[in-house]
Amino acid sequence: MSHANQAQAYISPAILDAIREFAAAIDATPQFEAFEESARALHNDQAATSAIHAYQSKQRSLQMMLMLNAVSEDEKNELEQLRQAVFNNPAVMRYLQAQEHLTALCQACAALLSERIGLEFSVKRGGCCG
Amino acid sequence: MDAVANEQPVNPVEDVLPKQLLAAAEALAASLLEAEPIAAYLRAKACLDSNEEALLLLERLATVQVELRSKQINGLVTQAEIDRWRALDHQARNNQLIVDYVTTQQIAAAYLAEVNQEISQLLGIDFTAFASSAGC
Repeated sequence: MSHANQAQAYISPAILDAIREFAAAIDATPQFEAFEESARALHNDQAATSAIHAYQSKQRSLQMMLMLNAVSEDEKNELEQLRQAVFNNPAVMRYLQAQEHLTALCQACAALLSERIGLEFSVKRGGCCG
Repeated sequence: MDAVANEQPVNPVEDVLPKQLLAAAEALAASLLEAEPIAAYLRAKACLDSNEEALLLLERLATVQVELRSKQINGLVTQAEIDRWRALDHQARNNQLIVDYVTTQQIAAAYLAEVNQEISQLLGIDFTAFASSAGC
């Protein structure tokens, strides 16, 4: 077992308490509430979910042709229309806006924590191309 | 006077966060500084930062690596340059301060990933994905 794995095993009760307080404080923000509400609304919006499924389905069917840059103009136009239908849907727009606001809040928290502890607090695993 | 007023430092992060969340984030940061993986990393970093020889070695290694990469693109790397890089890399791997710094940094990063995971589980979202800057 590596040193890194050993370190993953234990978070003290005191720090777990601080983590819970922190999570509760995020949970109480208008940004988090708006995100949850918009996610629920999106899930329950028939028009929005149909538009998303139609776009994803078309995208999947054209995946190989898109990679080969061999999609016809008609198919490109159809895919673009389906994409527009998704991103112009009010429920999708509200969800994306709420997601953007929550992202800004979480990034501000991570920036503060990173600055205080002298280490990057939130790092996506395998998320970089370098 | 106006110029001085315009130069007042701004703290956008603190301004963005609601008071309760700011207090909770500060408390979490204070707790994390007490956690052994973070404390060990900060001790190792302080030791490294106070040792000019180790810092110089890392700086030389970084410089040679950058030079090698740029020459690699044009196929202009000589055996002497590879040998020089290997020698510096060997020195760095045998420098206890550097080894401690790299090891404790990896442990601290793994620990913070666990902390992020705990937050994600409590909130029901991928906190790391929301919080990590869109880079790359």
